[in-house]
Amino acid sequence: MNKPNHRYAATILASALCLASMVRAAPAPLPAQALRADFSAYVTRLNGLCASNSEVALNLFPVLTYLTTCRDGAQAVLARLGHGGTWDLLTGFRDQRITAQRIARKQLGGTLHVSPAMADEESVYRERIGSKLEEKYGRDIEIQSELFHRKYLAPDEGQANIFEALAQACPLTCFNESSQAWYRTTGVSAWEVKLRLEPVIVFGSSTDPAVLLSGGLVFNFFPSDFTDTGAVKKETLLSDYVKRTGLCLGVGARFHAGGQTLLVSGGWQLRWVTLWGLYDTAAHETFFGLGVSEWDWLKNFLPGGLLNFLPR
Amino acid sequence: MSQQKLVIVAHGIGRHAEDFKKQWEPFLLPLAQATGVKLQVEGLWWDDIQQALDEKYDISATATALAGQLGFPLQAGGTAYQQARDFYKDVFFYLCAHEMSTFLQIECAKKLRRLTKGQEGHTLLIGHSLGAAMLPHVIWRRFGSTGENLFHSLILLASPLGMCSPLPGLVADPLEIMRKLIKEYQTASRTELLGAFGDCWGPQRLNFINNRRDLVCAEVTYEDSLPNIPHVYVKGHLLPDIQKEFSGQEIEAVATARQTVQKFAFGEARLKAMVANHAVEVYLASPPFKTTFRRLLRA
Repeated sequence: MNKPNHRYAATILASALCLASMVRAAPAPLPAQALRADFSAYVTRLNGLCASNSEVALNLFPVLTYLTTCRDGAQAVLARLGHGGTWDLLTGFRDQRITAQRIARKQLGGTLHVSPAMADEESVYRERIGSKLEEKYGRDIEIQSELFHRKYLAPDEGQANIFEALAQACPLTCFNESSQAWYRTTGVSAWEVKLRLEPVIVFGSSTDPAVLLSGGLVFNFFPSDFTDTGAVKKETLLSDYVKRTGLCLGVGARFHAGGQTLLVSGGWQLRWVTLWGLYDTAAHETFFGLGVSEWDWLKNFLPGGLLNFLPR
Repeated sequence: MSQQKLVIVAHGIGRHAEDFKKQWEPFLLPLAQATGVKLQVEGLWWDDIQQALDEKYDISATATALAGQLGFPLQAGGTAYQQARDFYKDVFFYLCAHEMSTFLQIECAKKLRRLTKGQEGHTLLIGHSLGAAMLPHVIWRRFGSTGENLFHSLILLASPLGMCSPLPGLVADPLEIMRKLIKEYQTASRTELLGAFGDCWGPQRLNFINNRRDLVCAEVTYEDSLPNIPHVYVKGHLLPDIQKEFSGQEIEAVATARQTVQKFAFGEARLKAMVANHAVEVYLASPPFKTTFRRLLRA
């Protein structure tokens, strides 16, 4: 008798582990040895540029400041190598360099291209550091594209409306590449807003139809691991079979023999099916209901054109 | 020895087939032939994602129905109806629904990377209309991720980057979208953004080309009735509260970054010619485009 319980416990545990492993979308760490060689070469080149003093002769002090900032930033990376987090070091240096460019551009009156030293720095950056970030960028956009497709364009995602499209801009659900929140994978949030008009079948003493204006938050289960090129390497139990689930609230009308009554409700959504707990405010009764937000499967059964009359 | 260049073209608003590059090739290939450059043209087709989003969120039908309710005589199935649908859909997804805009940029970034196959240094990009806003966004996002711009050059035809939205919370300002793409530039002004974007290209490698009679990128004044709605007479600007082209300061910022904004005049300043004046063929046949394209092929 205990066997099924064990199986359930194992499934729940496996699911929890899969959920926890969702955040492992970072690329494989860069070998510190190779990175050390690249940053050393970058520092050596910039030392040469700073020492040449041609910028001082030309009164191009902002260029010198820029080169010194970049060199010092690269030296700081070298000092921290070997303590893990190689990608963070690399992206941190990239951000520092972009900030330094912005400051230098302002000081130089709008353009950085005022001395050959800047072109030299750009060239050594491209060769030694930029090429690694290019690889990461390629991997990241492949992953982001895959996750966006799963989140918004999965075939069983259901039909939505203009308001739901706008609502995805809220901070919890929208894309944010700089956030390290647990529910984000390369910036794509697993959370999604649902705002839909949903037909529901109410199961009580009689079976009545109802319509609910529902809103809620749905969690998309993403794969746990990706290859170096950004392809899906490993699905989880949840990303493979459950795909998405969430909680929602609704208000609407129940249509029965006595007329229409107001319903308030709370529901649990699993993919495109929602199980509703409904409260009829006039009859002071509670019911269960079943709602469906995806209607494309009906295309096979309905004559052409009828689908347009179904709620969206 | 003839050089080899890859040209990637990006379409603007409206419906486009996957092989839309065939519409561009008759203009591009003869110019390449005349300069002795071996040319490969590829199309960055992103209408598929726009269509998929539209099917899910049902935007064009909703917006067109709303326009009908507001009194615009849009006969279902007619050309004006189709154009209105496409316009609403493309503008909505790219400028109003911010998350969908990000999705579109990432899709385009992925497609662009696959098309270039590591040959960015030999790749000339050309964008038209909304494609001429999307390409700068994609390149700037990539710059924020890698700290460098590898592409050879960029020509933006009828770019809406000059447009300044009076309600940026509702309809995003195409240029200011760039501010959100790199956190180090979140406090930058329009001119600083434009200057910084221009500065990540080699000299004269970023080129804006605008038709003075195109509502999308020029301050066109009309004395005319709206097509199909003769009782609405426009005297002056059609959308007077919206800046449509780069200001003097913005053009100066582009010039300081050693890039160019060129203008030409084609078509009538008539409301019924709005669509025709914006057509990609008008731009590809224009003298500034031909000159710029030839120069960049040789560069």
